[in-house]
Amino acid sequence: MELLTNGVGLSVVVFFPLISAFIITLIPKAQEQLIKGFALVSSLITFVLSAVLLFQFDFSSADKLQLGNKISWIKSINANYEIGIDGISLPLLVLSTFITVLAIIYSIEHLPEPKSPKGFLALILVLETGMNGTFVALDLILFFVFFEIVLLPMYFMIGIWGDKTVRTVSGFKNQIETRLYASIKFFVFTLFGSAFMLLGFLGLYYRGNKTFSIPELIELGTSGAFTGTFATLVFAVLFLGFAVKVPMWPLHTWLPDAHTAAPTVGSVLLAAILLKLGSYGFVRIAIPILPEQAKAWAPAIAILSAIGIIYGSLACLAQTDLKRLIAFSSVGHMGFVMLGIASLTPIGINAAMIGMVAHGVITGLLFFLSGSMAHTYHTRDMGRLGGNMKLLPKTGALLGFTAMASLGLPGLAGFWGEFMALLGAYNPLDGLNITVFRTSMVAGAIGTVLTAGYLLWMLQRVNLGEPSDEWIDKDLHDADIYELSAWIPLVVLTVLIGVFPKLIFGATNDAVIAMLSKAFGG
Amino acid sequence: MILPRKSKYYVAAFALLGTLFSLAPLVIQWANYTSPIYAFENSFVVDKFSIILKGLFILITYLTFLLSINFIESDKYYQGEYYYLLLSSLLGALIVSSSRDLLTIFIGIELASTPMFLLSGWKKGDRKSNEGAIKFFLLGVLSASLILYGFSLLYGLSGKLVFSEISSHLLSASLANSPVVLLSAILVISGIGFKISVVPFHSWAPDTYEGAPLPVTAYLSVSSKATGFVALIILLTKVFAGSGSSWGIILVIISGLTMTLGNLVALQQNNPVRLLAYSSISQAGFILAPIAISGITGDYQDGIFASVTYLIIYAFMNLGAFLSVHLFSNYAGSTNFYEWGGVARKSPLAGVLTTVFFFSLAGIPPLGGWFAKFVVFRSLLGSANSIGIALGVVGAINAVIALVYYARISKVIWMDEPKSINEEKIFQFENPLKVVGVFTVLITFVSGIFPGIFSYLGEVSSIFFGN
Amino acid sequence: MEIFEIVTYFVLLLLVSTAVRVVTTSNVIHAAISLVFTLALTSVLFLLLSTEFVALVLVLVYIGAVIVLFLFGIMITRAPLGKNAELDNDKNKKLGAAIAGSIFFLFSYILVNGFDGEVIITSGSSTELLGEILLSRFVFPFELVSFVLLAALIGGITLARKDEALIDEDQV
Repeated sequence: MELLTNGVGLSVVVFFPLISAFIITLIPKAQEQLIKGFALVSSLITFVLSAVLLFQFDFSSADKLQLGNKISWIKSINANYEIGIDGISLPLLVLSTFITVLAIIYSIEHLPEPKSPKGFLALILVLETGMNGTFVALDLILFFVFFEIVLLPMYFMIGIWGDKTVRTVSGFKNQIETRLYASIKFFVFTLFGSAFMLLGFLGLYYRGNKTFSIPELIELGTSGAFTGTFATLVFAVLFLGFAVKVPMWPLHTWLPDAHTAAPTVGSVLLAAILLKLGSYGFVRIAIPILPEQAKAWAPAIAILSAIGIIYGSLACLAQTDLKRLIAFSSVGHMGFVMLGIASLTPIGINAAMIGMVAHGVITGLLFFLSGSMAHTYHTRDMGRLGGNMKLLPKTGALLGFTAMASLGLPGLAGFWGEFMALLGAYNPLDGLNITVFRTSMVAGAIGTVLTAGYLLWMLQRVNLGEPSDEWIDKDLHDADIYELSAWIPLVVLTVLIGVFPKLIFGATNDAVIAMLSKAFGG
Repeated sequence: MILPRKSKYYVAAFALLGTLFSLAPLVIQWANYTSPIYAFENSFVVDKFSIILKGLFILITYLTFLLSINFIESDKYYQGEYYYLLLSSLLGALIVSSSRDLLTIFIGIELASTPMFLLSGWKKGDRKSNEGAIKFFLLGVLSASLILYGFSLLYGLSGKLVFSEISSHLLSASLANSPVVLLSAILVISGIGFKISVVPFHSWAPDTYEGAPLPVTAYLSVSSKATGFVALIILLTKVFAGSGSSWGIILVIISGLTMTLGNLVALQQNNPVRLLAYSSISQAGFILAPIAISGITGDYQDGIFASVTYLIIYAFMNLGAFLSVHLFSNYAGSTNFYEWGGVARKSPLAGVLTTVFFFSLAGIPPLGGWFAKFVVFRSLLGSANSIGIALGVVGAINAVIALVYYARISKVIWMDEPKSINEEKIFQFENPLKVVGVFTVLITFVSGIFPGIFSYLGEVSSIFFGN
Repeated sequence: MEIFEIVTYFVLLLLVSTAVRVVTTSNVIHAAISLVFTLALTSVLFLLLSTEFVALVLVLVYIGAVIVLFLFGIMITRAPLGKNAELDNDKNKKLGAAIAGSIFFLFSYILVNGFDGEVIITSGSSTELLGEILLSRFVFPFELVSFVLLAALIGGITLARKDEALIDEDQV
C-alpha cells in the first residue's frame, strides 16, 4: 500500500504506457493479435491502477497534493522529479487513462489506413504517458517535458493515418494532402506557444529563488514575489503557451484542421485530453503563481472566450463537413471552460473543471461516432448523409443522445459546465470589471442557443429524414461490439456526471476553493 | 600523451582500435585526477575540462570511422591516407583542448583543419567536391592568417605567449579594453568564425559539406566545429576575459544573425546535406549565444557550461542525422529528399532513428536536444540582461522555425507516398552503421531523460575557469 | 637614425606598389614576378629590423620554393600566358580597393595609437637563440608542425595522384 502513496503508483501510471509502447515495438509485425492484446491489457492495467489510486486518494483533504513524491532529477538547475495529484488533477488523470482504454478498444477492429497496429498503438501509449505526466507533474520543467511529449505521437498520428484528401491551402503553391498540412500546423502552433512558455518558466525560476517547483512557486507568487512588467510579461508568455493548446480564439486555427484530418482515435484523444492540457495549465500554473496578473488579464480572457463561443457556434453553422462541425464546436465549448476560469470564482473554475471532463467525454464520443460514420459512408458531407436513424439505428441513436448532451441538456454532463460558467461570469471575483463579464455572459448565453441550433440542425440533416438513394442498396454496417464497448461507457459517464455532478465537484471543489483563497485571499 | 600517433597504420580496424585505446589514458587521468597538471611551462594543461573534451573528440572520431568503413571500402578512395588524415585532425583537436599558449593553440587549430581541406576534396572525380574543397581551403587559409594576425598583436603588446601571462599583463597594464586588444579579439573571432561557420563567415560550409564524402562532412560539422568552439572558448575566457563587454556585443549580433539566417535558408533546401549544413550553421548560433552573453555579464562559468553541454549533445545527434541521410540517400539514390517518399517503411529502424535525430535537433523533449536548448535559454535569461532576454526571444522564434524543416524530413520518409521505390532493392544498413545509430540514439535519449549527467560539467567549467 | 628611417619608408613604398601590382596586373607571369619583389622587399624589411632569420626564411622558402613552384605550375599547365582578360574585373576592383583601403586605415590608426613610440625588442635576436628556444621551450609545437606537414604531404600526394579508375568514371 505504501507503494501507492509514495509516488511509485503515480509514476507507474505515467510510465507504464511508455514501457508498454517500447515492448510493442519489439513484437514482430506479423503478430497483430498479440500487439493489440498487449496494448489493450497495458492500457487497462494503467486505468485500473489509476482507479486504485482514486480510492487511495483522501477526498477529505482534496486541496492537498497527495500520493506524490519528490526526487532529484537535474541537480545543476534544481529541477526535480516532483509529482502529486490533488482534486484538480485527479479527475483529468482518470479521464485520460479511461479514454485511452476506449481508444484502444475501438482501434482493435477499426484501424485507420495504412493498417499498422504496431506503430499506431505504440503511439497511443506514448501519448498517454505524455498526458498522464502533464497532469501529475508538479515541477515546471517536468511539466514542460510531458507537455511536449504529446506533440510527437499526435503529429505522426495525424500525419501518417490522417485524412488523405487533397486540398488547396492558401500559401502553398501545390495542392497538399490535408493530413500533411494539418499535422505540421498543429506541431508548429503548439511549439510556438510552448517555446515562449519555457522562457516564462525560466523567468519564474530566476525571480523565484531558483526553483521550478510549482507548490513553492505558488507560495512565492501568493506572497507577492512576482510583480511589475516582469510578471506581466511572464503571464503573457504563459498565456500564449496555454491558449494555443486550449485553443482560444484567435489562436484556434490549427484545431479544425487537426481534428478533421486526424484519424478517429486521434481526434478523440485530441479533443478529450490534449485540449485540457492548456486549460489545466491555467488552473494549475498561471493563475495560482501569478494571481495579480491573472486578475489583470481576466477581462481580456473573458472577452476572448466570449468571442470564441460565438465564433465557434457561427462557424459550426457554416460547416458541411460533420467532423469539422464537431471540431468547431470544441472551440465553443472550450470557450465556456475559459470563461469559467476567467471569472476567477470557485463556481467558475469548478464549472471549468466539470466542463473539461464533460467536454472530454461528450466530444470524445461525438468524434467516435462521426469517425465511425465517415468510415461507413466514406463521406463526411452532411449534404449527402441523411436518414442515418434508419440506416444505422444504433449509431444514430447514440448520435442523437450525444448531441443533446453536447448542447447542454439539463441532466446530462454538458449542462453543468455551461450553466455554471455563465453563473460564474455573472458574478466574477471582486474587483473585476462587472460590465465586461456580464457582457461576456450574455454572449455566452447567446452561444448556448446557437449551440443548440447547430447541433439540432446537424441532427436534422444527418439523422432524420429519408436516406438518399445512394445508400439504399449499399450494405452498411451498424456499430459492432468493439465500437459499442468503446461508446457505452462514455454514454454512462455522461448520464452519471449529469445526474451526480458531485462525482467531479467532490474532488475539485475543495481544491479550487483552497487555490483561489490562497491566490486572492478570502 | 594521447595515442593516435601510434595508430597510423593503414587498416580501418587498427584505426578503430587505436582510437578506442586512446580513451584508456583519459579514463586513467580522470580517475587519478586531483588538480590540473601543467606542462611545457604552462602552455599545456590536463584538467577535467580538457579530459571531457578529449573524450568527446575521440568518440566522435571513432563514430566517424565506423561511418566511413563501408564508404571507403567501395574502393574509389585511399583507405590508409584517409584514416591517417582523420587521425591527424583528431590529434589537432586534442591539442587545442589542452593548449594554453598562442603557439600551441594555433598549431592545434591548423593541425585539426589542414587534413580536412584535403579530405573534403577526397572525391576526386566529383566537381562539387573539388569546388567545395577549394573554397574551404582558401577561406581556411584566410582564417588562419586572421587568427595569426590577431595573435601577433597580442604578442606584440605583451611579449608573452602563455595565456595566463598575457591576460595578467593586459590587466596590470590596464590594456584590456585598448583598441589593439579589441582588434586582436575581432581578428581572432573572425578567424575562428570560419571554423565554426557563423554568419558572415559561413559561405563555404554548404558547398563543402555537399561536396565532401559524407563521413567527412559529418566530421566537419561536428568535430571541426567543436574544435573551433573550444579554441574560441579558451581564447575568449583565458586571454580576452577582461574585454568581455566589447566582444560580447559582437558575438551577440553574430549569434542572432547566425541562428536566423541559417534557419531561413535551411527552409528552402531540398538536398539533405545542404539542409544539415544550414541547420548546423543555425545550431552554431545557439552554441555561441551563452558565450556571447557571458562576455557581457562576466559569468563565464555559466556560459561555458551551457555551450559545452550544447556542443556535446549536438555532436551526437548531428552525427546521427548524417547517418540517416547517408542511409536514405544511398537507398533512394537521390540527393533530393523530397524523393524519399515513404522510405521509412522499407526500414522502420532507420526511420525511427532518423525521426529521433531530427526531432532532437529541433529540441523536442524528451530527446537530448531539448536540454541543450534549455541550458542555452537558461543562461540567456539568467543574465537578467535585456540583451540576453532579447537573444532568448530570437532563439525561441528560431527554434520554432527550425522545427518546420526538421519535421519535413520525417514527414517525407513516413507520410509521403512512395514515389520511385524499387521493391526488390534491399535496404543497406551495415553493422558498423548500426553501431553508430544505436550509440548516438542512446546518448540522445539518455541526455534528454537524465540531463543530470551534465551537472558535473558545471563543476568542471568552474575548475576550468578557476585556474 | 635619419638614414635608417628614409630607407625603411622607401622600402615600404616600393613594397606597397609591387603588392598592388600583383593584384592589378592581368598577366599571370607579371603577377608572379611582382610577388617575388614583394616578398624580397618584405625580407629586406625584416633585415632592417635585424631579424635575419625571418628574412632568410622568407627568401629561401617563399622566393626560392613557393614562387618557383608557382612559375612551374603556370608554365607546365596549359594556363594562358600573356594578358588574360578574365583576370580583369573592374567592378570588384573598386570594391576591393575600398575595403582594402578602409582596413588599412583602420589598422594603421589602431596600431599607431597602440604601439606609438614603443620599442619592443631591445636586444637583437639571433638565429642561434631562435634555434635553441625552438628545440627546448617550444619543442612540443615544433613537433606538432611536423604532423601538419606530413598530413599536407600525404593528402597532397593522394589528391594529385593520377587515378585511372577515377578518370574513366569522370569521363563517363
